[in-house]
Amino acid sequence: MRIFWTEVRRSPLRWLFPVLVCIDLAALFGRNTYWIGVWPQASAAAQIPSLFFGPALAASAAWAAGRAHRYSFAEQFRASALPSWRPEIALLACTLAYGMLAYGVGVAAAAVVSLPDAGPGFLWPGYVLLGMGNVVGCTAVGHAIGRWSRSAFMAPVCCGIGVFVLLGLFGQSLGLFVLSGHPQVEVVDSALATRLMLAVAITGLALLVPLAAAKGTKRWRSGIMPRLAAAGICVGLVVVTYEIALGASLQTERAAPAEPLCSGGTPRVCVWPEDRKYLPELEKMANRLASLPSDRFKVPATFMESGLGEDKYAGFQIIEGSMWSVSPNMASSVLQETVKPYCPAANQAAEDRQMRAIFELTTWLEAWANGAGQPASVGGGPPGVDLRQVGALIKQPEATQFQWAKQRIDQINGTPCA
Amino acid sequence: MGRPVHSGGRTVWRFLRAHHPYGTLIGIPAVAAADGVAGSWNLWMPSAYADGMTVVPFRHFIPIVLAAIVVGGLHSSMSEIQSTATSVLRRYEVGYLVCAATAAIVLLGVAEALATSAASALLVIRGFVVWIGLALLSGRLFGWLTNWLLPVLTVFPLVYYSLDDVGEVRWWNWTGQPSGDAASWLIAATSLAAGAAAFTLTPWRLPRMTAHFRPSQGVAPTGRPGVLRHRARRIGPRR
Repeated sequence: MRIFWTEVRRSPLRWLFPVLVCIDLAALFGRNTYWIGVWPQASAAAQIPSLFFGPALAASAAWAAGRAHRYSFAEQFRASALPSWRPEIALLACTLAYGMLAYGVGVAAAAVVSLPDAGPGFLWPGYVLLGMGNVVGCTAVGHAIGRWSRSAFMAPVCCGIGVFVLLGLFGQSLGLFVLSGHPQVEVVDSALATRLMLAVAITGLALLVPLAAAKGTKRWRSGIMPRLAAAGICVGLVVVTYEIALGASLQTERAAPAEPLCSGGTPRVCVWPEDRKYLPELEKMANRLASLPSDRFKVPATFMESGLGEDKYAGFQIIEGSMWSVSPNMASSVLQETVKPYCPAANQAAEDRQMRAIFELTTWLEAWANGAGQPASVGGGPPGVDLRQVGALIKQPEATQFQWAKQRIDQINGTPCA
Repeated sequence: MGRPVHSGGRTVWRFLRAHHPYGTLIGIPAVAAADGVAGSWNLWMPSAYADGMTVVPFRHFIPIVLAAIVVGGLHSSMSEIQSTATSVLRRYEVGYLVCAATAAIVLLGVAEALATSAASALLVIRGFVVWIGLALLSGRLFGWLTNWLLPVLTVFPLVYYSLDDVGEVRWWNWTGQPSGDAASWLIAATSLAAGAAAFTLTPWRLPRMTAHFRPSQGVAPTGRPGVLRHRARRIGPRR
């Protein structure tokens, strides 16, 4: 323990630590902060910075571990009475402690800012552990290469860039990180376990590296056990990598909660309990839709978030906290109740007119639900619809808008089926 | 200093021998070749842009390694002794830097032009110019072996904040802007100037320049403080 604290005091990472914390907080708060107040999203957001300071940690771990060669006391290490893994574990633990502390600051910050808005519950350990696995794995890779390589210089550079490239090439496809954590999905325990085992296996190898680093010189003690251990870890590494590459994917769909969180009024809006912070805004949108004249528009009794109903894919999805992303689904469910069921028209011209009317009406209903036209930050829209025209229409007197909508409804209802 | 210094091949080798010659001679062509081979690998990384994901080709970041190797060659395994050296050593250092950087630019440009296009070659060369400036600055601040610190730290903003909310490349993103972009070349020029200034501000020049602002020391030091001078200062009477 005393050695560990000495390492902590002397580690070059004490200078890098503030930088790591800055990177962590910048990655956390520098993007869309919709995740604040939704526990799974906050947990996933806290995990993202690990990808950026993973390579930075790998480089600095390589630098820290390279001191044996830099100050040429690799010989003394080899001749020491301690088993070779003891000094290694102190140094690696110290590097890891700095990395974990920086990561922990980000996780704590994510939890603190989420507390006021989010309901009961806390950060989901699955996502946080996933990021932790990345931190441990990257640090261990850096340590191993830094200790093994004779070059105090190329090891950190190659480690930093190499880990960055590996994460960039395979991180997405192997599921080493997630970008968002919808309440509809959760981390599979077995998949998480394989990823953590990968990190642990790399750490084990990193501790045994001094054996390999003792090139060309006879060791004072013959180490059959460490050699066996290294061989065992290598086999484990292959198995775990195989399992990660071909095993279950990282996230799976959750079972719907027995009692989703629903608003009190009519129409009802039901969401996953984790998404409670969106409920007041969603209720307002549902009420705006309900305020349409009831002789022309029929509004469904319940708006469900996706994954709650019988049909897993029905219902609205909240994408990156954007209320606009909810409105297409709400609008089309209103339209479904309002006009006759869709059927192909008799000829192409009539079909085009019908589709155009459907698209225009949907766009207007979306705008009505939000009380504003489509914001500029949201790209795209249904084909053939003049979004600016709908944006202007939404600001006109209600009578004009309803008249405009009635024309579309009549057109759809008046199109004969083929 | 009694012997005249020959600037022949043997002296060059004598300089290089202390400055990681094999790493530099092998490293520069190897990394340039890696750019041609692996430059088009696409890396998927998280970003602050609304999609949450950005794709960066590996070639955007290869010049970091190259700049690190070139500047890393300034580190000497006998730097303690060299701190007492004459202006001849300084000339060799400048010569080494210019030659190595030129070789790196030529090899990188040729590899990239062969692999993709001339415009793309200009783009990676611009990246190299930016990062060699930063590497020189970083090397002066933290030591030549840690010259990679500042360049590597730029990777985070370049990846994470590379695109704005609408998905356009930000004006300062020198890895993403087209090869003719004026702002990015300005950044390259600024970085190179900062790096050159850092390279010029040797440990013995800085005290000489700031001497006028330190009234407590009577006479401005004129020579470079060698090992002996340091010693003398340390064991001398305390003021």
